[in-house]
Amino acid sequence: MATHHERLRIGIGEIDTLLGDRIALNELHEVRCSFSRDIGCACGFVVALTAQLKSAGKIVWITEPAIGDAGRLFPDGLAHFGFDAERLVQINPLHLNDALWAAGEAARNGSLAAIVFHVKGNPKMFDLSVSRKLMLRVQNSGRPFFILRQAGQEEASSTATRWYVQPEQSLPDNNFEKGVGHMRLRLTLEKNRNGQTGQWLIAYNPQSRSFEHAASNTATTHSGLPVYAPFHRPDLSAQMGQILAPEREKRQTS
Amino acid sequence: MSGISIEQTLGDARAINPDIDCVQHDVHADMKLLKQIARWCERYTPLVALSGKDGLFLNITGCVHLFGGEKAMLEDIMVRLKAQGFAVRLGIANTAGAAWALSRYGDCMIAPQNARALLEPLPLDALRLSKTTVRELAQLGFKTIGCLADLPRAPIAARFGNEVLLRLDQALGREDEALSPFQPAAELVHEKRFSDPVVHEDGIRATILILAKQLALRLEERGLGMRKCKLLLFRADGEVTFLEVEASIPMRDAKRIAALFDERLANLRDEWDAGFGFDVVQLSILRSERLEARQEDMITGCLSQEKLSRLVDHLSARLGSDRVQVYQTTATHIPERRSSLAPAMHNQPQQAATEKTDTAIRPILLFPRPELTEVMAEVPEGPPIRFRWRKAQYEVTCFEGPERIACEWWKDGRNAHTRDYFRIETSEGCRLWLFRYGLYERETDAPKWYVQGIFA
Repeated sequence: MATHHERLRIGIGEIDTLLGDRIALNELHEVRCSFSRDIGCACGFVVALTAQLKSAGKIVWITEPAIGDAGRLFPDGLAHFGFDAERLVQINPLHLNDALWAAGEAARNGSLAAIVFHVKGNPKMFDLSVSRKLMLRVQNSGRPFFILRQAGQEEASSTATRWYVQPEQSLPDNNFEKGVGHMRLRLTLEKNRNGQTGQWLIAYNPQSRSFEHAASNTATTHSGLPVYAPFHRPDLSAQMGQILAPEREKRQTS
Repeated sequence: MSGISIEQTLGDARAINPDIDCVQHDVHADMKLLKQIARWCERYTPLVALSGKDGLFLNITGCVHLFGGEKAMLEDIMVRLKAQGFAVRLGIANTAGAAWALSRYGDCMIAPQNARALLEPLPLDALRLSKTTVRELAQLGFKTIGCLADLPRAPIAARFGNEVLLRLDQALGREDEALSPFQPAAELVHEKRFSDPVVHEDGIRATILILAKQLALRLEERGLGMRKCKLLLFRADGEVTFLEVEASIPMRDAKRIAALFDERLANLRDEWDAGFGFDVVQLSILRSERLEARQEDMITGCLSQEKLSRLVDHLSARLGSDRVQVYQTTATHIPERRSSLAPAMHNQPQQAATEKTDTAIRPILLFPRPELTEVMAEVPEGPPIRFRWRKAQYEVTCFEGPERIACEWWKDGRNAHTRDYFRIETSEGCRLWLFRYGLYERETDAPKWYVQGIFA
């Protein structure tokens, strides 16, 4: 159900022109990072992109069983990207071949907003022919398919683009200089159908919900996050008073 | 074997036949076998109930004509079970009590409409009474059911309580007895029997499609759609394969029902053992819901919703419904309890989100089990300076925090501690969520540190 005004963009003109104004919706895209600890950054990049898809469909997130150490998506954290966790359908198959099958089924469905396939490393089973099959299905259904490759190498595949993500130290923002700023990364376009590639230092701006150049320390253009320091967090008084006789502290008799 | 009986002592049995083997009685294995036979018996009737630990009740009301009469049915059961190596005794009567008595103590297997004449000569044991009651009755001179049948009721009730009269009435049909079926009774059942067992998977698939088409017609007549469907494959040697599929929204398209079973069968392939083939294939609807006939919208409309539910059904059928999930949030501040996964199958319409307040920054990936780390931090309440996580050393360059989250003492009791969360960034640019578990000196002397999440 692709609506014609739907588009997927990095938000930085220079990069978007390399892609022909936007990221193609009916293609396979890969986002990879080299270490497991960088998965947060890679995941954030994919989430920030898919959050732009405003069509009504669900987002299917398939995780391969080897992804044990990446944790699982956290709805409260996704909300900062404007990503509604209610749109997520999480699929955790027990075997890689089931995961690949599920990815294929999701790829040809056509009613989804996007599909993300989270895979660890470069499993042999997920080779060029499998990714080509996926590509054909994706081109047919017209819904974007992201391969999120955790701790993976460059590999020949049928993806239209391949992005390599490395986390960088965040820049101090205007409001809270000592704090941790927001996601900043070194983004490398390793593969592009048009042939043009490149590398940029970019940061995510949660207010405009897009990426922007963030090369050096002083020239930050973003105005920073709203400061969250004192925020209201009500206690859960409604649940109290259910335990009538709390366990009495045992006194040591010895 | 002559002379050997249940509850005999081993010594006595050995005295009669010195060659017998002695094996410890395995109650659970017996029960398992009985349940397996019960499942197999579903080929005769959907209402099969367990009777104690050594018998089965089959409610064959309305099923007899399918097997060519009571006698033919009885013979069929007898022959098939004997072929599987079981010693069987059978009885058919119009009450469960009478059938129980006839199968165990009678010599006639099919009771006429009024079973009383057959029951009267049987011993009192045939009434399903406790041993002590039977013994006490025997001491009073009551040996057969006939002796009891016409006695005044009040004195018996006064002396032995309700049990004797209840069992007597149940056997003679003066009182109804409810049997609780071993499996929930299906709403609709269609089955196909083969004189030559089917071995090939393609044959099974084709049969499922035929049965699904028949069921779909019945469903359409009633304006219903299938939510839960069961397939029983009866192997010729007595094994029963049992498959169940569910649909997230009611449906009655035969091809789609068959496709769901195709996925289940595809997943079964390793365990799939056709043996000598299947002689009965039975498809039944366990749960259905209203489904109005409607016309497809050609342009947009519910098509997308239906496509999605089709995908969810399809994936759930093959991977299991606990592998296709949606996120749910709970009103709590403890991160690992904040969100949980629930089967997408049962959670199509999400209720309004519990609370959507603008909370503090949370990680994008959360570890449901926080990972223990070695941290160097300022005592008592300072931020982490450097830490070791997953066998690598990290330097903290900047941090935010602490954000204090108190424990839920009403759930965790007194031993749970307060957590101080820090959002930190390492020199590599990794942004992590660490917490100190326990307040220094107030709750614990050596607080431990955990990593609980990764920020984007």
